Amino acid sequence: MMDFLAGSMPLTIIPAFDCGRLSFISGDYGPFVATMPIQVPLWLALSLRQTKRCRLVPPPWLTTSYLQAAVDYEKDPANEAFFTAAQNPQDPEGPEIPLPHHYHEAATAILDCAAEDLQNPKSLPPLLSDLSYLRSSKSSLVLKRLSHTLESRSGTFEDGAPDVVYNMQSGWKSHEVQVFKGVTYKLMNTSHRIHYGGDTGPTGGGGGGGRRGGGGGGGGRRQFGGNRGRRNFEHRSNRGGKEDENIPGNGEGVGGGSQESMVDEDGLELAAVDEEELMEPMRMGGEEGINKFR
Amino acid sequence: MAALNIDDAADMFGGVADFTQHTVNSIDDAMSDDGADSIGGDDSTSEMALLQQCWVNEVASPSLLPIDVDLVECLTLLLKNQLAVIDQLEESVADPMAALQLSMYQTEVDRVKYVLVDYLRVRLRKIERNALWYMSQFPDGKEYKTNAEDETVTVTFLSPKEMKFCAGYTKLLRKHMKETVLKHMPSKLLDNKPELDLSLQKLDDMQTTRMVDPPHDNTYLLAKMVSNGSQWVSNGDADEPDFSDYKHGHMILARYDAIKSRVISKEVELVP
Repeated sequence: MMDFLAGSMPLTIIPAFDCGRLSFISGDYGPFVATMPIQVPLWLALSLRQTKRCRLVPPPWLTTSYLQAAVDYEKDPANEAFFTAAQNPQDPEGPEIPLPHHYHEAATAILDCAAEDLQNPKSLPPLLSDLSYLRSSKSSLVLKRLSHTLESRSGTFEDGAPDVVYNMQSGWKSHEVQVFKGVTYKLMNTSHRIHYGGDTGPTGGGGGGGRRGGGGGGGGRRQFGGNRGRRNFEHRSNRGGKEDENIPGNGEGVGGGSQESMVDEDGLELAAVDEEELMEPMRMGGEEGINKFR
Repeated sequence: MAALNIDDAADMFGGVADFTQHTVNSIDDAMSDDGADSIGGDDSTSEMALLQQCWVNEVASPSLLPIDVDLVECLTLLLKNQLAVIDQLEESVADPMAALQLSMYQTEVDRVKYVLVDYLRVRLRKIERNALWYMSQFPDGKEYKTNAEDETVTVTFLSPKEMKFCAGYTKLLRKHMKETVLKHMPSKLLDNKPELDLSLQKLDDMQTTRMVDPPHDNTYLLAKMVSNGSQWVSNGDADEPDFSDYKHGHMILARYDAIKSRVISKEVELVP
């Protein structure tokens, strides 16, 4: 999906054919005049390039100097925020140009398809991978900060979860978001469930009422049988600190003491809930009961 | 659910457009972004860019968002016209220039088709998941709200064809539930009136358990601010957290519940 969204990024090409003005659904492009540069979206540029109908003009952000500046910025420990913009190497006096939102997807596609059109194409992949590595380590710092915030909140079980909004910084690009969100959603939804009970997430299932009100007990009782296995897994992972979750593991490890006691209560609660859950389908019929055995 | 092709989609939305001025105005305001940073790309207010943003929001959100029926209809018509142009070009395919144009047009049509069909399909999937809930929430597909000036604002959540689908699906669901389970329920629940149609909604009304599941709006999501939080007009919800610190382009992590109304009013967009 990210590659698809990256496709609408504008890019300059030099067509090798002549053509009048063409009207597409997303806009008009043309007239195409051979050897005259024209701006088209990325998807069109790549499709023309693959049939050798054009040559790509390297975009200013996909150059060694720009990417080097980006990497230097990210490496500097004083810069906590993400890199956003740097000097355009083709226009040194002009304004700074920002790193495109889909820079990673676009760069991979361009290098794949039209590497010869770029200057110094061999130097670019290592720079790109450095950049994405540095940015993802910055995003894991954000994640650590987030999990610390969550721990510090662990003592407060008011009725209902607060509608807290967490500030991430600005400057996120598509690639870091993808890497970040997988772990983060799991972290947030799990911690929400541990602290406030009830179910979050589509695999949880019914009992919507318990979500806002009632702490662990009232909400927990409405779990489906199918959930038991999943909670057990999380139970273990909270204890152990799994390898594949080493980023949140650090955060949760630090506050391990408080969390573990939580999990113990949870564990006891699990035992109580199991029996209740077994009895439930016999007591109530209807959709929920059927769902249990699905 | 059979595979949706573009003709089905066109039929679905060939009906009268239910144009909601509210949503379109805020789209125009929100979409004045610089090309490098927005998902839209070339022309930020083009139909395709708008549809892409709607699609991204719909994919990322756990529950159904309002649909801009006018936009979908417009795009379907554009697609139909473009397909006609392609058909015409196919007749002169020997000419290399025509062949080139044909391939370009075809690629673009495929792209638009992909977004449109996936958008509709995602919505149908969401409707299927919580069909009974949506039927009870939006009996005619629309939500009516009074805004600050005491006017009623209608927001279309289900297009007419989607309503038809939802109604048909719930009918099937109820029938299935009745045949498999409810028929065999103990008579206590029937209130000694066997002629009453025992439905899931009735059990819900008895408040013993909630039978109809609402969609899970309490999942956490990443979202991006489109407009400055400090400029927001309060939407009357006392529980809403304070957004005044957040500016355009800021990323926030929040429970979907908390930002849902802002996503609908296009002040916040979801991150795919």
